[in-house]
Amino acid sequence: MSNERIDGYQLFCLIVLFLFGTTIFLDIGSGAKQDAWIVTLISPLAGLILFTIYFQLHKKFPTLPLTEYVRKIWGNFLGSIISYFYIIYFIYIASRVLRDIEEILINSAYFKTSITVIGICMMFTLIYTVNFGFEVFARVASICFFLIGLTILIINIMFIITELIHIENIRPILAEGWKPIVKELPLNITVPYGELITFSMILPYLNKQTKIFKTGMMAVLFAGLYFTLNILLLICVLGTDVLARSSFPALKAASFIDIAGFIQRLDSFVIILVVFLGFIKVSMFFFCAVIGMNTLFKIKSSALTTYSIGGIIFLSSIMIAPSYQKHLDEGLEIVPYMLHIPLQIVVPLLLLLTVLIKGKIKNVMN
Amino acid sequence: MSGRNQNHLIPLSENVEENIKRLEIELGNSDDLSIRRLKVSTKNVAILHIEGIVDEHSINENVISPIIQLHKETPSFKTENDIADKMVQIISVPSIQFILDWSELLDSILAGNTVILIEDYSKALILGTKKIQSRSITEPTTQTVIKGPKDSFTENISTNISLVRSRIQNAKLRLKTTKVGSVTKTDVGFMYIEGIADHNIVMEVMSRINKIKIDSILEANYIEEAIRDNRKTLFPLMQSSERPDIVAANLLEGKIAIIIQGTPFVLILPVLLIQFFQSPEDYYENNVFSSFLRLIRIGSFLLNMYASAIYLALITHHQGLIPTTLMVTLMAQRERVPFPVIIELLLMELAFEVLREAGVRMPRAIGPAVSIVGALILGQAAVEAGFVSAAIVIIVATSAINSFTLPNTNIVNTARGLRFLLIFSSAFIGFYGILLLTLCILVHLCSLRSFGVPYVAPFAPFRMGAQKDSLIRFPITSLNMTHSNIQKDTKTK
Repeated sequence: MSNERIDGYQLFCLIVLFLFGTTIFLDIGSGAKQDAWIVTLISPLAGLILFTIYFQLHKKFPTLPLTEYVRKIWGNFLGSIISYFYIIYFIYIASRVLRDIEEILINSAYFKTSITVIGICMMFTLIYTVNFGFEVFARVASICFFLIGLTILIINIMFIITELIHIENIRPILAEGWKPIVKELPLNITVPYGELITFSMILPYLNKQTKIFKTGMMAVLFAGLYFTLNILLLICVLGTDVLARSSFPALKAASFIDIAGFIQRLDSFVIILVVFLGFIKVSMFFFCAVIGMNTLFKIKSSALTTYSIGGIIFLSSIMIAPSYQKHLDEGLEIVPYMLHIPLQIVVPLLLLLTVLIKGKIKNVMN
Repeated sequence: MSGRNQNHLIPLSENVEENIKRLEIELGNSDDLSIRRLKVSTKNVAILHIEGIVDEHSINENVISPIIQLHKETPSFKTENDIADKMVQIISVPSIQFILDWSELLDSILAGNTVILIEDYSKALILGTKKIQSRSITEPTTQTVIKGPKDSFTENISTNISLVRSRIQNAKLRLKTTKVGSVTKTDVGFMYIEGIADHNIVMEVMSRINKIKIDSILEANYIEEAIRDNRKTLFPLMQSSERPDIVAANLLEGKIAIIIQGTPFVLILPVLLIQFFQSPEDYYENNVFSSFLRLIRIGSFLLNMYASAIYLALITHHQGLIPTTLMVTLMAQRERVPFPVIIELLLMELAFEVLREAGVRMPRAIGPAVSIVGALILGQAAVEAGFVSAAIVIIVATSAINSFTLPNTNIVNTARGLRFLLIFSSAFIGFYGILLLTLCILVHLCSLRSFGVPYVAPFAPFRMGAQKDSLIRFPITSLNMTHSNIQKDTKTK
């Protein structure tokens, strides 16, 4: 793992695709109705701050992943407990994302297929990938970046040429003031930007340490701008009511496309995006869990870790929620406050403060 | 046999007859061993060679007659050394060596050299009179072009080297030869251009070739399988070509060519995936048009791999995606077919594979018969009889035709293998299966390296400069034809 070769371009692709993840299929910020695009325009700024925190921590310990420097900063006992929490967190989020993919697939194209089959197929692909290591994965991501970009471009062009875009849907702007926007912000910051915490597990293993910060910033801004464009398109195509009611607005919008009665049902085309983006997102969490596990318990062979963590992710993706609605509710009401905010924001911030204060104390002592 | 390979030296006898006896025993009294006994002053001299692999005319003119002349002109010599020295002066063949070792003598006589033994002299003279029969240079049969050079390699290594040398007349073109195969002792040549080829890769290839431990090398694939990076892959990690212009172009890009005696196919390494879609003709035609053709080839390759699987997924899992009118037509065709689509598809695919194999194997004279049987009976009649639907025949035929657009046959076989995998995964779970298998193929491709060079370069890792000659080709003046893909990112395992 120590000699991975990932250049700035691959890191950019990875961060962008990771942020896209399952987020571009969901109705982010739809609580703010037609002003949802303002939410997605503001939240990357918070994403930049979060990425800065993670990067500052990484700069203090350039060779260690998050789960290791926690132990350096807060001592072996407390640190180990926290790192163990992080590993479980990564596994849990991986299985949540996997569940999202499974549900999207079952709702859009595989009505009669069992969720287990969908999950197991994906898990085999994931395990196959993780076994090859992060370098190979980063290269796959940079190729997927083209494929995904092309697919997104085609779909968006179709929206435009089929005259589905109704600009009047985004008016009136700020009808209810800033309140609904502020209410939506925390959710939109934790997912996807807070999930960049995964990169603090990956960064130490990259060989070019120089351009990370600039690349990361650009990637976050790029993703933020695309989210804004995406939600604007969705609002224009669907209108706020349909947007809030449909579980997968992107699929719904794509299904409106009809060119000459021949090119129809493009929602199945969107499945390409779901599978590719979902694959990259779950893989990232999967890698983090494997790296964390291997470093925390000092395991040499990672094949065993990969298989067991893969199995756990797959099983829990099916068991975490009895139904999709319950899964969504947990994701909106419990996970952000119980897991995301403490682990993505509070702990890293406290870690950084501890490091800075320790540094100050050392300076004063000297 | 293997005893001779060890390094201890077996000296030659000073008695000529003893040596001849020994050679006859070693060669099992082989009838093609030719022995000519002569006398120079008072000493016995024997000239030995194996018939058929030497230039007999040259031996008569340039070796035997000068020695007879010598005997007539100079009746006495002081020592055997003088005889040997004099012989070197009068024999006119390109190379003369002195050897002491018995096993070296045996190897060189088997390689087509002529041996001169002199009585009371502990060394043998080895004369380079090798002449191996080979066919003349003809047009390439597997990699044809409309415009461009029409010569191709032959089975003779020295002809092949000369074809490359004549294209690159540069002092930096290096050639190293070695013998591989403990039984066949095949000549393997190894060409690269000093200063352009990556030194590490050159050393790595050399050490891998020297480590080969197999009995025989009869074709380029013997070497390829012995030295490739990853044994568990369907993708070709080396390119083999019978066109000297391809080899020359690749040498100029910093690649290494391995030329093997006995086969017209020359190995080129390291290789990138994109190279299998590039034809030499791309550089002999207008760049806009050849870029278009390159894209067509890549499209054909993908269609060849995916057409059947996508059709299967559409018919069995995603009928909703097919426009209604087309769906009605397709379903009407399938009405009479008794098999499920997957069986129908596999039947036709296998039938085509059989046809293809038969096409290679059958004698030329009965070719038309097979095409009639293949096209009419398997195609039309099978549809009319209701065994398969017409759509399946169209799909299988399309993917088959597409496979013939590729300039390199190595990659076609890969597509054939992957096509079946894709069909199975598509039958299992439709587009989702195709997508997941595609991801696995991508992961596999990204994990491959050909002699340390990432296989999917210049896409991953992405190199902007190299894009000028990957999917599309820029005008030749704007390509600075160097080795940008090769020298960066090498990690030799």
